[in-house]
Amino acid sequence: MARSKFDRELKHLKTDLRLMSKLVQKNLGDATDALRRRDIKLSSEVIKKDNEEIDILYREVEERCILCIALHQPVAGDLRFISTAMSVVSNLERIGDYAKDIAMIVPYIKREPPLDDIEETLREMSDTCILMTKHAMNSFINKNKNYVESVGVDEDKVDSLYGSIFPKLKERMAANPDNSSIVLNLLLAGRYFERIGDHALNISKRTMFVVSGAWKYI
Amino acid sequence: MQVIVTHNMQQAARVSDYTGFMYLGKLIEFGKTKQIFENPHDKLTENYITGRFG
Repeated sequence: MARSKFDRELKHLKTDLRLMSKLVQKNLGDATDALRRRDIKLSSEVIKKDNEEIDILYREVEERCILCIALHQPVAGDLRFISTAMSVVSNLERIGDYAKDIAMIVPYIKREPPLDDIEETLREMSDTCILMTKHAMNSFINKNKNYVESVGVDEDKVDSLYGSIFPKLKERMAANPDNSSIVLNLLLAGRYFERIGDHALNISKRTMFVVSGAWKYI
Repeated sequence: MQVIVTHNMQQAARVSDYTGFMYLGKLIEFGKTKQIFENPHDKLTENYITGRFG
């Protein structure tokens, strides 16, 4: 009886984590679209969704974890999953915040001409980050390590893409100081994507702990 | 050294240095209490201490 109630709580927790993961992925894609199209309306929607849905879900998941520990005193695999969920959800919330930060750049570059090559690289970084978030969260929720390796490979890819835009932006700024606003803002966006990759990797590392019971670094 | 036999998981975890899990007269797993309750190696031990059967 007690266990079936606990199983229901775990099911709710996983449902919330799945929903939050989808919202964050969608917001990240929308923030990138808004940046590329200089779409102020879409950027405002991203910011609103982060504040009104993702942040609230974050607190609910955390509260659910605390309640589970207080009421059911989980041990072994259950304890590892619930205690790790508190850290995972915090990483996921940070990814959501970076999507919001990217959306917040849009008004500053509204009238700036596009830097197509850089912005296409940012799009690739965004697509990779969305995939990493999806894989890392699915692995965690399903307690498997199927995607752990691919998240590590994708993180290297995001780092390398970030490294590739840095000298190009530096060159653009040196060639024409009038470019400084767009260059600095796109550099910031690149930095945000790079950090998102780190957070997705953190989720993967913690999944390894849930699955194996030991810290095994990728 | 003292040995206690209990079905109360909280009590076992609180008072012991080592824990052995016995089922139907067989010793299924024995180890440090921390290991048994955080990362049991045997699926039967895990199922018992997490309340999946009793």
